This record gives sequence, structure tokens and C-alpha cells, in this order.
Amino acid sequence: MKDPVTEASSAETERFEALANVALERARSAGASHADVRVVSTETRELAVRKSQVSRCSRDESLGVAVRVLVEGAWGFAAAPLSGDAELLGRLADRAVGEARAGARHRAAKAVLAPLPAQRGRFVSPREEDPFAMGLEEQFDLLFEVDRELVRAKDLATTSTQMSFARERQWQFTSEGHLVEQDLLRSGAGFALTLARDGIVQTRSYPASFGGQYLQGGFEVVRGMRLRDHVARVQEEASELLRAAPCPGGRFDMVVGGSQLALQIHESVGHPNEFDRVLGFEADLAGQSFVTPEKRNRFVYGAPIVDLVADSTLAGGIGTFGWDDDAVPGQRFHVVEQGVHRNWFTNREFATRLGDGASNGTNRAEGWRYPPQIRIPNLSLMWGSSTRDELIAGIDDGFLLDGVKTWSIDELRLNFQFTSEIAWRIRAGRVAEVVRNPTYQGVTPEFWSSCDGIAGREEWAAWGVPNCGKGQPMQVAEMSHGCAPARFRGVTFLQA
Amino acid sequence: MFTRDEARAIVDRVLAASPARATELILRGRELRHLRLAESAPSEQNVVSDPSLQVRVEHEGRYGRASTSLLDDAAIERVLDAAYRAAKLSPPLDLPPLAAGAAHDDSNSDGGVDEAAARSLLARDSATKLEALAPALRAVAEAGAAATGFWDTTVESCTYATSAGCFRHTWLARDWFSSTVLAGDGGAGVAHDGQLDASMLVASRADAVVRQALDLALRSKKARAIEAREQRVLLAPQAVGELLLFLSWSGFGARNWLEERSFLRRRRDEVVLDPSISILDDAAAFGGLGFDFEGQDRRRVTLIDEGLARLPVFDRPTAKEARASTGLDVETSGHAGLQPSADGPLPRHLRFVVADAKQTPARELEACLGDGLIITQFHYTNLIDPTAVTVTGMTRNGTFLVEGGRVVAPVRNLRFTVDILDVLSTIEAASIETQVVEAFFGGAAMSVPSLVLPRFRFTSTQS
Repeated sequence: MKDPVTEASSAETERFEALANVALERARSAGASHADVRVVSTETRELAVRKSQVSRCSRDESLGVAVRVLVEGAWGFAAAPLSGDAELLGRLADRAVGEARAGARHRAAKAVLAPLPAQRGRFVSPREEDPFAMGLEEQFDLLFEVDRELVRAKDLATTSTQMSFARERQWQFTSEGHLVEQDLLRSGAGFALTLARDGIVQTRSYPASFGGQYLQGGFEVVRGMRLRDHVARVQEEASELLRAAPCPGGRFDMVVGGSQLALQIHESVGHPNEFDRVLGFEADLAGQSFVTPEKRNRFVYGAPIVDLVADSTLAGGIGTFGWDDDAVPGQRFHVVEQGVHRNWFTNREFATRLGDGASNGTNRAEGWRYPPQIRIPNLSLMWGSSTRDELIAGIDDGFLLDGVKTWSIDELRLNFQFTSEIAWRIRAGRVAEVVRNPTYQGVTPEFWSSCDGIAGREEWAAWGVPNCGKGQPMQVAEMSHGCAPARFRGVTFLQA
Repeated sequence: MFTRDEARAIVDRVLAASPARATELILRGRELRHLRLAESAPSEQNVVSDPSLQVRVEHEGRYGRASTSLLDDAAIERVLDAAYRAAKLSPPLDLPPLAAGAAHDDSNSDGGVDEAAARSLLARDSATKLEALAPALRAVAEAGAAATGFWDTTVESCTYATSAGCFRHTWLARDWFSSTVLAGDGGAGVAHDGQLDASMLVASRADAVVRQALDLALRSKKARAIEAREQRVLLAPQAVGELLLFLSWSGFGARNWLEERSFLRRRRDEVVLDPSISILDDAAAFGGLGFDFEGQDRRRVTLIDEGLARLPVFDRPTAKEARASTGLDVETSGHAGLQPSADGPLPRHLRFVVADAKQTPARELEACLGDGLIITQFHYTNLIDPTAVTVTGMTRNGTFLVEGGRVVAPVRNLRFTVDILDVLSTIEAASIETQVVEAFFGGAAMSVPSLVLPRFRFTSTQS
């Protein structure tokens, strides 16, 4: 992804740099050992149709500036919309320094930043068709075309058909002289059909539940989903779910892929490897982690065929960027290699705590209103050498799962319980009848250790998670999780 | 933040600039002071100004919406233009007309909190808060434990106005502190205090939060593993709030009710919970907005009345739909979100009320429990089935085994999978004292007691 990176030189950049220099100089002269300024512009468009009616048609914009300083080893942060107020940047710097100084008096352990070579440049995520430049008619036409078919379903409770687009431009300046500019665009779409009869409610969706699929790119991402081509299948599967027997309990083998396996990666590998969480910094809300510091290079996280790779340069990933909000370049590294734990996600402060020489670049903030924190980057289960059909053929009695219905995991990220949208019974290596509410439960390392087959690159895809919550107050971040269908042995299913 | 006069001036500017026949706007001005703790020390101190302007315009029965964080003339023109263009290109939608005015132009009915009290919360800086917390944080360190926490002081002005003459304005404020203490050997405890009515969380109460969390953390060290099975439980308010939240999300909104996905549907006036339980939505009791985002008065609604199912909350579109599809004579209850709303109206200020006959002082609830488990908090609860309100989640931050009415040991965290309607079909006792708690993902405030329940199904252990 080197091609989109070019030298920063626009007039806009020069204007923001002049503003940022006011804050950086003010912070430096007030005693800050580090200061950074982020100017962030966001633009979103969200369209949705529900049962033949528009349920959302909105366009939101935001332009703000955040000043973060480190004074005597303590952080201070101040942010506001970027108005025409000439004094704004100086005032924000003063407030940030004041906050940091208040904290420093009560903080024995001082934050120390890992070194970072000079960073200057511009990153523009690839795109072909600008969704903001398109008229709404074409986008609504597609949604209504899908919805018109969906509402014909028998036992209809509701429909949801939507698309959304988000563009974020950011200019980042630091007291160390880093100057980086980014322009990120992601697009997403999907639909869901909910049927209800006799007290049973079932939903089936495409391409993924809870809003659909998201990728970095323009409207070509939505076109590529071919939403209309999947309506009939979704209707049929939703109808089958309504008639299906509840999933039985017991220990079964399963094949799972798509957005369900992506969520498994997110919850049981992503969050527990945020190093701030490992040290207890998120204990008041999100919880802690079982992946404690002594586990590096020793702990068996999964079977030897399990490789889990963080990659902020992944093509199409919605967590793909040029630099994180510490100005650290996006990187690719193993979290789990051949089943063994290797790395956590760090930023410049926590890389120092960990004893690593450099951050692996996962510090990100939601827009300008919040300070950055360690976030899950794009994180993927790497492909194997099998095929989905071969994996299924290797199961005597089990299930094939697809789609996310609900999820829960404990605060150490060990005990989890997930329910998929749909499952098919596998009997003697062949896919058989649908069952509803397939619910499986497990403990993270045992689960990943039970993986004995992964489909190949041809069946591998990156699934976007646009709404990952973390922090106090909660911030939302985006990332993708790549995976191909994988087989797990002896999984505990609960009677639905 | 915007005073009533400042807000009115901005409203006038926006309405004057609007190209549309009908325009609605929501103007919010938020000031946030956030203090985060980790390792018994401050880890973040944040000061944020966050104004926003949402506009919705109507053009020949078509609607468009847009928002901005900027309020200069150029931004206002841009946001109006974006909304208007969206409206012109959007398919038509059958929505009620924008709220008209004079009847609602009464600041006494706008709810919220006192402006001066709200502003006074912002006068206290992080240095003062940290001084207030210092003795308790030292006590945590001396005990070999580590405190994390979050002190959220947020003050907000909120204005709703329309080109039809509706103008409503009020203030919201919160001063809320939570702390989780980690004591090693698996020991963890949590506590919180705060209000949403602009009353200031004084130093002694913040200190008490940390010390209460420390006490729980120390008592929950070296927890023993127990078998996952059905147990009698004493649920602390935070845990009760989690169950109430899922009842609300799945059952108390008109959208799910209309679409047959609410447990209230087709069960009006039937017994659905223990007859000692009543559940109300009552924004005024929490210092909440007195109006909704259709400009309507937010009314107090009884959702469960002594165990009997009543109607959900409505906005104007869902009330109209209900009248047409069910023949019921229902009106909006003033619970509209931004329109059009995909999720429909939801209650956000819930009171869980238990009849006097089942109330007991909190200190006597362990004796009421006899044998069972005390649950401090649930973690990552999520919905499996909306009609039975089946949920799963984990226990967290202090789970204790009680035998003969006395705590005998901390126990390791457990996973539960329960039908909320089933577990709340019988309650044995409730605390007289109630506590205000908030949802894990935000979005609702709830006043709840502790509860003793005769059965609660645990399905697995943490590891």
C-alpha cells in the first residue's frame, strides 16, 4: 500500500500546520515534553429503508481540533470544533497543559514515549467511485429495489436495508516534527429480514448481520456486494429458520466462517491483546485480559495451524491507515504464530512499558473529540490449505454456522458464548437441515486449540467491524478481520 | 453551551437561512470534563467542547437530515443545503407535521436541571477532584491493590425548535464517578456514585466509592470455583439494572411492539412479572429532558403495573401506526428520538419499583437469601431471544457464596443464561434503598433496588 503515500504539500495542510504550530509552541514553552495536534474532518452519509419507508437519510459533517500534551509524564487533552477563533489553539494548549500538570502531581509512574523516526507524508485510501459525489436517487433506488422484494416475505416482522459512507481526513502535527495527512474512505451496505410467527422471531441477513459488510473504498464496494442477487436466498433461509427445530445441545464439531468467525477473532483475540487492557487500564468498564505479560513466546493460544496477524496495511481493511494517532506507521505483525502468542497491540507509551523498542502502531482516536487509545487493528486468521467442502466432509455429526446473532464474553476474554443467525446440521460429511438459535460456548485457548482445518486463500475475506466500543467515555473504532471457513472439534453447544 | 437567549438567536439564524418549507433543529452544546484513573493514578484528563446542530427539513413530504459541529454562517448554510438536497431526492414519507408552538413555549415544562447548578459543576477542575481522591487512592496502594476509574462531569444545553413555532430549551448535567479496584489473586470490586440532576458529587462520596470498591476487591480475592447450576441469588442494583435494560430494549418500545417482537404485545393486562413489580419511565425523576425530539411533552409511563403488562412508549409515527393496525386509542408518550427513527421510541429513565410488602433494608437481604450467591455486577450481557427476553452474560467484580445467611467465600465468575421474564416472575425480597445505575453501553438511566430471586441459571464457569 505504498502507492497512495505521497509528500504532504496542500494549501490546507499549510494552513493547519500554521495553526498547529501555535499550540505546539505554547505547549513547549509551558513545559510539555511532547505535544501533538490533530485536525480531523469527518463526513458521513447514512441511508436506510425499513418496510418500504425511508428510516434514515442523513449527512453529517464535523471539523475539530485536538491538542494532547505530555507534561512531567502525565497526559492532558483538550479539544473543540475548529472555528475561526484566532486564540483557539493557544487556549486548547493551555488547557491541556493545565490538565496534565494537575495529573502529574498525583502520578508516580511517568509516561515515556518510545522513539519514532521522522514521519512526513500523505496517505489516501484507494477508491474508485466517490459515494458523496453520487446522487441519492441511485443509492435509494438500490435500497428500495431490495426492500420491495424483502417485504413480500410471509410472516414478515420487519426489514432493514441500508448503506453508509464515512470519510475522515486528518492532519497530525507533533512537537517532534512529524507531519502526516490521511484521507480514509469506507463504504458499507447490507440488508436483514426478520420474520415472526407463534412467538418465534428469526432474522437472516446479507452480507453480514448488524448493518452489513464494510470495506475501505468507494461505492464500488456496494456494487460488489450484489445485494439483489442474494434476496431470494435470504428469504428462503429466514423462512426455514422460522420452521426449524431448535439447535440441540451437546459436543459437536463445527465449521464456521464469515462474519461469525470474524467476531470470534475480534472478541477472543483482538480485545485481550490490547496492552493497556492487559495492564488493567480498562478494568473499570471493558475489563482485563487473560493474556498477561509473561505469556509472550510461551503461551499456546491455539493449534499450530493458527496464525493470527495484525495488519494495518491490509488492502480493503477498514482499519487500514498510513499512520496511527501517535504518527507511527501502519504495520503487519503476528499476534499468534503457529499457535504461540507473540505480540500485543501497543502505542508509544505502552511499548516502553512492555520493553519493546518501538510501538507497533495501534493508537487511534474516534475523530477529534477523544484522545487516542490502543485499538484492535485489522486482525486476521490466515488461510490454510483446505476448502470449506473438505472441512464439512470431515465431520460426522456437527454444524455449519453462519452470521452473528448475539455474543458475550467475560471480562478476561476467556469464557464466551455466541449464537449464530443460522446453522445447518452436518451429517456424515454432508450439509442437512437448518436449526435455529445455534449457541456455542467455550474458553478462548481451548477453542483455538481445537481448530484442525482452515480453508484456503480463495475463500478468505476481510469482514469490517465499524462499531467497536472501548474506553471511558466509549469511543468507536473500525477494523477488519480476515478469515476463511475453519473447523473446530468438540465444541460445546447449548440446547436452544 | 447555549443560554436560552443564545439558543434562540441561533435558531432564528438557522430558520431564516433555511430554503425549506418546514425546518426542525436540535442544538446541543456540551462541555465535558473527564478524569480517568489507572494504577491508582490519573491516566487521562480531558477537556472537550462539543456543540452540534442537527437539522431536518421537509420538502413536499420528503425529509432530509444533516448535522455539523460548526455554527458559523457558512456551516449553517452548508448543513441546510445538505439536508434540503437530501429531502428533495429522498422518497416521500408519511410523518406527522413538525410541532407547532405557543403551547410548548413554556420553560417550566422543558424539564432538565437548573442552569446555575449545572454550570457550577464545570467550575471544579481535575486538580480538585484528584485532591478529593488522593486519600482513598493512597489506601488502595497501601493495600497492594490498584484503582481504575472514570469521573465524568458533563453539562449540556439542549434546544428543540421548529419553523412552526416550537421552541424548547433546557439543561442537562451529570457528575458521575465509578471505580474498579484490582487486588490481585483475582480480587476485583466496583462501586459508583453520582446523579444526573446537577447535584455535585462531593469529595466524601467520591472517596467512599474507591473505598467500597477496595473492600469488595479484597473480599473477592482467591475465589473458589463452584459448579455452574441454578442458584438462589441476591442481585446488587448494578445487576438488576442490566436485566431491566434488556426488558426495556426488547419490550418497552413501540417499534418492537408493533412488529410482534415485544413480550408486551398481545399480553396487555396479563401478568408477566411478579405482582409486586411495577416499572415506570419517568424522565422528571432523573432530571431528564421534559420534551422529546418531536417537541412533545415527555410523559411518565407505567410499563408494568403490579406485574401486569401495559403498553410500550410511543412517538407520533408509532402511535399513528398503532391506531391504524390495532384500533387502540393511543397517543405519543413523548419518547421520540431523531426522526425518522429506525428503532422507534425507547424509554430512557426507568424506575423499578417493588411493593412495600416485599421491601427489606439492604443489610437484611443476605439473611433473606439464606443459601445462594451475591452478584455485584454482570458483564457483557446480550440478548439471545427477544420474546422470552433470554439473555446471557457473566458475573463480575465480586461474586460471593452465602450459606445460612452469611457470606462464606468469594466464588469465581460464572456464566448465566436466563429468561428474564422467568427469573422476575417471582421475587422474594427487595431492598428499601434504591440506586441510580446506567447501562453498560449508555443510553438509559435506571433507579433500581437489590433483589433476592429464588432461581437463576448459571451455565458455565470462567475457565
